[in-house]
Amino acid sequence: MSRLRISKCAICNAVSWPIQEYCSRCFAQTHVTDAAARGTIRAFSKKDKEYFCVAEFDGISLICTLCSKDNPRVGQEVVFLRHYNDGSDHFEVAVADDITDASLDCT
Amino acid sequence: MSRVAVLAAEVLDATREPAPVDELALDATRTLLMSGQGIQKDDIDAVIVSSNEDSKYLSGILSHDTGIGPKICHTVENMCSSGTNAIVSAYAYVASGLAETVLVVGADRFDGPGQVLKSDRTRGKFTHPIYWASIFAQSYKNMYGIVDDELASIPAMNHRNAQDNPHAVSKKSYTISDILESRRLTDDLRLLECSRPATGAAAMLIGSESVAKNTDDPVWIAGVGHRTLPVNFASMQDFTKMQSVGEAADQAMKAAGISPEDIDVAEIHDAFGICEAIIMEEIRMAPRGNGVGHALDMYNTDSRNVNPRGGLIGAGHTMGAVGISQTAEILYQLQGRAGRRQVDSARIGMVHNMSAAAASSTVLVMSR
Repeated sequence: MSRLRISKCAICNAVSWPIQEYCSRCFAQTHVTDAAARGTIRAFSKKDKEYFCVAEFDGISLICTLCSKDNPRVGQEVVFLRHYNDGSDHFEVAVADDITDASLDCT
Repeated sequence: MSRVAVLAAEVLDATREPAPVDELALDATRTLLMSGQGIQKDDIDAVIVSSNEDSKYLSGILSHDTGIGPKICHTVENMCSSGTNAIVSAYAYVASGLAETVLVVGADRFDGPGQVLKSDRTRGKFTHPIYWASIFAQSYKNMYGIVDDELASIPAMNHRNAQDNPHAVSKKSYTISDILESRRLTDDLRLLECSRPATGAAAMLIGSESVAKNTDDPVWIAGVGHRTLPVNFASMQDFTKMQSVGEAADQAMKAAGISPEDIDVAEIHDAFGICEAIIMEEIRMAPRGNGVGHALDMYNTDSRNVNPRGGLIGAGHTMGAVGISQTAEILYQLQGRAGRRQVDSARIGMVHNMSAAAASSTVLVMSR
């Protein structure tokens, strides 16, 4: 597991992703920090066997690949697994209740 | 401020064939100027091209190729709502007195670069529009207890309406069962619920009141509304709503002095079936949560009040030409020459055109 790296304004505390040097709200300088490890499902759907969801972490919403044993629910807690970029961004999260399950292969 | 009229418009056939965008724009312009509307090339003092193509200087090239020598000449790109943004630019030139007559031309090809907004990195790997459409559809169905059969009435209606539109890309009607049996793209979206990227073009003349009085049957742009929200789809506050639509529609209706119940006919941006349901709610043509129910009633009664030309789902998603084709349809409807698509006694029409998963919307109210 890793954490999403975000920028946070030193003056007004606004957060943003992708990381930006200056705050888009007040134009002050930002600093880079970790978003919360746990977030919430705001919406979801499924393509083939893979769930995808809009998940929010510390005010940052992203469309993520969702690892879930059962049908997910809006409001359900998720854990941020990883972000990587291979030319496009990939975000992976898992339902928090599933994260200790050894059968969850996307962990 | 001068009143502004739509004077004339022509729409080319939408296809799934490749074609050079500059040639499409030229074909649409030639068709319009040869249609006998009484506007001469020398009358045109602004040329605006709407396109998502990466080509440079399209308006200048079109002016050269047609022998028009405009004062003002430029391109507008705003993804799927480029067309109405070009029309609003023309409106502003005429209303301000900077131009008397403006030629607006939209053109794009089915495999053009305007379909995916790569700069919204919060979409992760889910960049294709089917993903945001699925998020809207699942959220809406979950909120209001809507089932897929009900939602499928929207594409069924729009494919059916398109059969009376000779320029439409859809050449076949589909039942609700056909829609449900079409290829499943996600759990919440099937192929026939989507508009198809299409090659197409449309051209339109916009003019001042003094120009309009010398033409056959002008239709007035009575109200304009715009709203642009943050581009990040994932940060949208509520996936059962499209906030930009309601705000733009309210501006346009207030400017025109009308209410939703005054709208006789509307062209709305059904990039996917779910969009039409939510947009009707945002415009207040249907109560919140009853957009699908309203569509089902229209489907069952063969109403043509919304998307009579088949919408984007039936007519094809011609990107930069969409907003101009939508506005052309309302022009024809209000002129009473929409043929088998004609809505009886249509006096007031609306155009809704949007971009970037409803991050921005443009609305026009038009009247006789």
